[in-house]
Amino acid sequence: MDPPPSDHEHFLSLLESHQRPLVKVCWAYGRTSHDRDDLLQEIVGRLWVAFGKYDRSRRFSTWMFRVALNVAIDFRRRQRRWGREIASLDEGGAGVPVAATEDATKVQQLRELRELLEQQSDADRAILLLYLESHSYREIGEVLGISESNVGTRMNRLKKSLRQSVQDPSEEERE
Amino acid sequence: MQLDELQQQWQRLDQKLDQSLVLQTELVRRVIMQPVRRRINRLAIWPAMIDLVSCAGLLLLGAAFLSDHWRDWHHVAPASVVLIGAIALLVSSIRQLARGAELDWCGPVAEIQSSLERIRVAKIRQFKWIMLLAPLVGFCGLMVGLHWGVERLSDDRVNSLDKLDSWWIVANYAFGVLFVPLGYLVASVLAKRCHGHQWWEAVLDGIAGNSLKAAVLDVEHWASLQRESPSHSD
Repeated sequence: MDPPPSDHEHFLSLLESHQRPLVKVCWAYGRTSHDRDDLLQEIVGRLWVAFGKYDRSRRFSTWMFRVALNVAIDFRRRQRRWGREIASLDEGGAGVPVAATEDATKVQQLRELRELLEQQSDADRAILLLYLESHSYREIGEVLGISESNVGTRMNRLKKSLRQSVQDPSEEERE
Repeated sequence: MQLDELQQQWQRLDQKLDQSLVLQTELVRRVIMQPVRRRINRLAIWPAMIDLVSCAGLLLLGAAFLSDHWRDWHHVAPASVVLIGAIALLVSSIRQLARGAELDWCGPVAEIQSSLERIRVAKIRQFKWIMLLAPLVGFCGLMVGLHWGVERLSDDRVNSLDKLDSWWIVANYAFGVLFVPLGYLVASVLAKRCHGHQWWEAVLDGIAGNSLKAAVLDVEHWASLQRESPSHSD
């Protein structure tokens, strides 16, 4: 059974106050605007179905990220299975509406960020996304179901790989 | 690039997303007003339900046929192969449905993804064996169906096998048995050469076991994430 209609408004208000990170999850895991719309619908659908089981004494964001990331990673897995993974990034890779007057540097930076996320494994992308959303290692561990020290280890590896993969040209010259 | 630099870019994304958030709110409202559970369940459950219903049908027909012809090994052999195939598919489909039903999408990501990968491994394994055993089980099914149909249409109990060339029957059984190793070998060779045809690549990788190896590695990847690893500083 879906949660009762009386929960609609409560669910909507919680979702509205947390929709920005939700849209970012879709941005990080969907390659095209069509993918992102599909993914958002799927995530919201799962969240709504699972809302009856949500323990209101616990943080909504942790619960929401768990459902959203589980659905998003599964979405990517299903796309890979049917070879749709090779679909190119849309809108110049930025994946957000671009105005004609937009600062080219900012758009380029967003495109780079997008490509960087694409290079990560599903697990590392989830860790990076939560880190960028300013979650602590403990919170990241709670969402992913791994220990805090494990999150720390993986973050250190990510930092190293980031430095190696997108090295600043001036740093290269210095080296 | 440093992480704090990335974080700045990530925050910049907030400003950009503001332009599309109104639309997303409408989308969210539309989604929750629909009977979501039924829509999600229909997508997830129907393929397995179709497997279950076809297996149950095959089991009933096979068992009825076997009970009528259990004295004649010409009929017992193909009917047994069909029955064993149907039982194996039924067990595999029930296990997948049960695992899917147990999934709690609000659970920790590593644990849920591990379970999803295990379901994927079971699906790939099921697909591989369906493809490799299809000629053998299909021919056995044809023999059983043919005899059953001829028996129903004719007044006296005619043995349809008598009307068929015994060498043709033996050759088809032999082909069905040989197809298991040969199909595997041919798929392995073709999977390496077939590039650019996504659908064929997926099918050949499934039969050759490449998809299975990749899925097992993914299970291990999520399992290793759950395992404790020693922390070290930068």
